[in-house]
Amino acid sequence: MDNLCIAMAKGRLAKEAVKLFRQAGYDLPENMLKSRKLIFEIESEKLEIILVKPADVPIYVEYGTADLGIVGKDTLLEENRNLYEVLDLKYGVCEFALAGLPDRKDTLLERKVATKYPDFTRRYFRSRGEPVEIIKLNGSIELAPLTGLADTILDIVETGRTLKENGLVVYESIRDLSARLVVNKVSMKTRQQEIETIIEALDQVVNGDDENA
Amino acid sequence: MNAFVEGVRDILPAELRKRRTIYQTIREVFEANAYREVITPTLESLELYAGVEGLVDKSEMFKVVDDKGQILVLRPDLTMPIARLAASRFQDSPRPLKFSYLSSAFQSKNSQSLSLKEKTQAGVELIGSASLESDLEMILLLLKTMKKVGVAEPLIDIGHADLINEIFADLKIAEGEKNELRRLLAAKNKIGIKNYIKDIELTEDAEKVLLRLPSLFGDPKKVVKELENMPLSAETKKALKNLEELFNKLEVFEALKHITFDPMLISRHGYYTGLIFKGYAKGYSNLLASGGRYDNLTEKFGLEEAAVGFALEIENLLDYLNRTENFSENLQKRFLIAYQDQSDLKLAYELAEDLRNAGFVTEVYNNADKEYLDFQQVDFEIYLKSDMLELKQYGGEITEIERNQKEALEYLILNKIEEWE
Repeated sequence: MDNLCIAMAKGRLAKEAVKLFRQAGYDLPENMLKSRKLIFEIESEKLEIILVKPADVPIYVEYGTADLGIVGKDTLLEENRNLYEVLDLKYGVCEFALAGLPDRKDTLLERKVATKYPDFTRRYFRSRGEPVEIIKLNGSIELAPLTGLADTILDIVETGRTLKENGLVVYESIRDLSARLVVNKVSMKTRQQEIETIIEALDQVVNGDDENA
Repeated sequence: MNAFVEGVRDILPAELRKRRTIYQTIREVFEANAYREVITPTLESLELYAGVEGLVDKSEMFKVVDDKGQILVLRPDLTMPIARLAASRFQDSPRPLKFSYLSSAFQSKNSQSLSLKEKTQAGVELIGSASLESDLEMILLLLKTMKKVGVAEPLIDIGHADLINEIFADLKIAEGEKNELRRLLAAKNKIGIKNYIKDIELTEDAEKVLLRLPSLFGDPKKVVKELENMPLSAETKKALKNLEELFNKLEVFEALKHITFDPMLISRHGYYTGLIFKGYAKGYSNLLASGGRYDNLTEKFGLEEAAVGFALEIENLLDYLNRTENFSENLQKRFLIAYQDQSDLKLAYELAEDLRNAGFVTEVYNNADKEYLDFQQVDFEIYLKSDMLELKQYGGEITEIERNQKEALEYLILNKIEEWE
């Protein structure tokens, strides 16, 4: 049978993921991420690892091109795909928050919210029953309130340093985020043993022994 | 002009040939098992589908308005129309009713990975039988159909629609918490469950069960055994006993190796009432089939009766077979006949007919160039000349055949081809 395929979110999350797998006893080359390769066959572990953009991890896993994926909860919430989310890997910890200038006045019209996460933002404000205008941006979200493009931003906040340096404050924390292990729904059934072995090994590293309560 | 519609597609000859092989196999299996095929209309009334909870969201159906202002839909599913048939035209017919179908269903948004708006489904419905044997029959029939079309290692994941509700009742889960917990359990989201139950009141036993459920699936007998040892009510255990009996029967048929059990298997179709199941192939990550028991569906038409059925997702099946190259295709050889002299036109047609009767695809065409031969995938060319007949293998041998005995021409041609092959 084919090797089990794991999609990892390129960048910091993948680096941590490789570290995690190595800690769990998997023989991944230590500096595999230094090359520009996007696909790695690890024959000794019967694994194939592919590096994709964070937002694409849930897509690769839902379509079953990858059996497993490692990706931030922020991406999962935004993409809202049909997957099994099986493990909190407890790194890449941050939160979704609303932020803006310290002296925000209530606007006469709909509140304008700039974000990289338009779908999550839409669902969030809909659940609160608040009508908003959502402006999708692709980066430097902090600029939106400073330039007057939007009065509020919805973004991930880790230490709050970027906000602070730009004179912004958190209005409201929405929820905690971290990296998650996700599994394709069919693979979970058709390759249960191989996948469970991986989940257990990673669980052991992340949570230690106390988890089996 | 942009004449392309997203989510629908043309089916071209190469694909259609493969489809037909699959269609034929499936139809043969269904008919041999006494499931007679019906074709229901493409257009159905919106009312048929409206109000069936969890079937298809209203917004995901294609709506058409007829000349009287009535709203119709392109059928989003094929089980409802058959339930309608059973409760109307076959109301007084002896039970059980056995029907099969092979048609397309239309949905504007398709949750399946191959995001087609028109997808082909082939399935059976067994109406008017509530027995365990009919559940067994469905599972075995699905396994057999998948194997026959070329699924090397079919896998059927079995669940029970009521199990989760029974378990919730046993654990005294409050009404307001059920939906979220059901969603988390269906997603096997252990982290989510852990966080969620932190804030709600639960017994220690209930917590334990809820945290175990996300990873409790797989080997049917093991899973049943573990569930039986959980603090669950007699009623829940009765549902489990039924499943266990089904698994035992499947074992007798040596089919248990193809079965997994997931107590938290939840179907998108809200109409299922008991057994639910999904068909997969080892190594392929898309759904190939789904089915289950829907004992309340015909109630809508004033006739409540037990029913069970399944549907194969033909596009996913094709995708799987294409990847694994498990097509069992019988490729016919193709001939092209050309002639030099107008007086040979009749001979060309007669010879073509002879070859067709012998099982070859044959066309008569005089101006074929290489591009045309390629496109039509012609294997052999026959060129009728005044004194002889030229037989040419595509990109290969050439030979001349005497044409004085007309009756023996076909025989001589086929002999030569056999010699070449």
